[in-house]
Amino acid sequence: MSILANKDTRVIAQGITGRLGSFATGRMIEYGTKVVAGVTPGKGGTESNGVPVYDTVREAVTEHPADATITFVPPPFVKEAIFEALEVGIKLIVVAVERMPVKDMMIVHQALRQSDTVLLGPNSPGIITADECSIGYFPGDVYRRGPVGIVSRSGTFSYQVADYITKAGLGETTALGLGGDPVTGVNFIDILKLYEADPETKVIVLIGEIGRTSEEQAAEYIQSEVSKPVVAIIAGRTAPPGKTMGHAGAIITGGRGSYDSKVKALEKAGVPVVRTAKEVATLAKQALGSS
Amino acid sequence: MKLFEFEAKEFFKKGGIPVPEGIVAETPQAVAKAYDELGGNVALKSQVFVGGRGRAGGIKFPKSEKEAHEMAEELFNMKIKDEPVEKVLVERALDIKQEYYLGIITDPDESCPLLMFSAEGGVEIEELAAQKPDAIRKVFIDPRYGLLGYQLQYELKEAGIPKELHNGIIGIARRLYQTYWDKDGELIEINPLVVTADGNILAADAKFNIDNSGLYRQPEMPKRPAKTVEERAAELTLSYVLLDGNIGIISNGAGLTMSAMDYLRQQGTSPANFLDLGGQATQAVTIKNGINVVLENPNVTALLIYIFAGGPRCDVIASGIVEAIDEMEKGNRLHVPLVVTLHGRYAEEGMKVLSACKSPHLYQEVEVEDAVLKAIELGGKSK
Repeated sequence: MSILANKDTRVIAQGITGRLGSFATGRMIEYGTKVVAGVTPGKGGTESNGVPVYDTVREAVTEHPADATITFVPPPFVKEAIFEALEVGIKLIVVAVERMPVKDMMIVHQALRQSDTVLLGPNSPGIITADECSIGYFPGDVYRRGPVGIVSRSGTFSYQVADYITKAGLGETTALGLGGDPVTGVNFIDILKLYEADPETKVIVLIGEIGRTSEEQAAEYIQSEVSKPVVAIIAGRTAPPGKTMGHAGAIITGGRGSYDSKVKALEKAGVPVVRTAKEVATLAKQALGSS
Repeated sequence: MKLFEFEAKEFFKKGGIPVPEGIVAETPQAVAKAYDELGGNVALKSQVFVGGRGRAGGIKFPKSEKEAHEMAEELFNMKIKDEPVEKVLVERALDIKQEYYLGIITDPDESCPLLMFSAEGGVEIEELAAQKPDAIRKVFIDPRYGLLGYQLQYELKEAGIPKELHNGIIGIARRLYQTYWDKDGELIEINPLVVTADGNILAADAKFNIDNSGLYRQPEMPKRPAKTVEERAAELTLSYVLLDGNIGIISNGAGLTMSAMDYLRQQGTSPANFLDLGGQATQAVTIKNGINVVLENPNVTALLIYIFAGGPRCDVIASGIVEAIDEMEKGNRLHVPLVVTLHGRYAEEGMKVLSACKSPHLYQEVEVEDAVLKAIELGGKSK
């Protein structure tokens, strides 16, 4: 098993004909992902990366039923692209786009509350289920099937952690990125719930960063609801307050979102917080040995 | 993007939020003239972004035109927490009876706008939140419906605000929310919201920050020339933050770049900067720009480049690094070692590109932890 995506997941790509869309879709297909169609308004009837392109999501899914979508459309159009996917009942939406207006995402968020669709992003690297399916930008070679589930606020930093996990001989079920923006679709808790229920995932790795209080909320949830071992790492231990560190969501303001507050909350919930990516693998291995 | 108080107040006025009469001045002469035009009884307010300007002496109350001129000279020669004062807002002083706080922020935890009101105005909200969290009344706003008056009315009652002020405050709050929403705000704040002796309610101060991702559809926002190195880097799509250590950092992705900072600190030295190329930076020119930006900083004694490529290819990035080195060496501008560690897509090919470069300034490590140690060995530790 795995969570959210597997070898049978049928994926469409919104904005497939753009530079980024076409490039990433090609790589997803290479990895073995079932990309069934693409959507670009005005380009219906053409083909991209060997899959048919439609003007609208509705037309695409009528011909090719789909479970998931990844959106590469430019920031001004992301909100509509998401609503288009929600309207036809797609259950997993990956928003890889950076710089989507936060206001648009707040509107989307209200709609998500009334739906069971899982949205990763904006500014998410996507989701990968090792050896089965990659929806996003993942360096596929880094991942090998194994017992570790990864949930992360970072993209590239989670690749580094996964690399150590794979090299330690463990491997991953699924790895995914929540997105680096101030407002995101789902948070740690939604994903922890899924890993807890997935029989193949034996250890959960949580990769946080400074800013927001999602790690603190996750800690509370872990304490009461998660029985599997969790290992955490938080990027930004030495970041100065008041400065946005790359991700718009990664900023310590008014004492909120600090490294210490996250570590305190996680440790209180019995979650070890390590300082380097390499130690994540070491602790995950120990946790597996003792569970 | 942050707006100055006088800019924020322009948007307030357009949005129907009352503000004191005021004139923006850039010279002591203009300040004196404004004093005269407003008929005396004014406040001179330095226009800076940093908080605590009152405590730092950035607000003055002249008693005559001559004194206005002198005090303005003082202000224009001042730096408030390193920020020079370039503009002064000359504003009619208010006969203050009561000071409240009213603000709206984008709340990442509830994923919606959050309105905050406090009967204790004038204090910075962070301070208030730390010392008297119960004094802050909160209203979460569903953006589909906007601010609903009754939600705030309830909180005003709880906060013990006199009934005759409720309608006035709610009206201002509605207009404040509309301005925040229409202009892609991420924070909008009136602190203090003043009730004057004659019963008027107005915004004595104004803070307004705009979501950078929404700027493309906000043509009314001021265009500022990039002044700081951070702003110039942002124009090149680089996220750069200047820090006070000696080891420069270039990485791709926010989390990875922060992890590089954390590694350095763990080894007992400090990063000279944070520079995130972006997780999806695919072009050689991006890293070339990055190297140039970081090496502008004279405190950099060694540069650590840490790439984990998901979308981009390491060989493309490596060729950008080699090009940057070539150009700088030809111009005799390269004086510090570069330690590079490449991971992910086409990492092996990237390492070959680097190995083919014979520059004495270029070092390469397979493991990031070794690269960190190498950078410190070559660049030393900061004092």
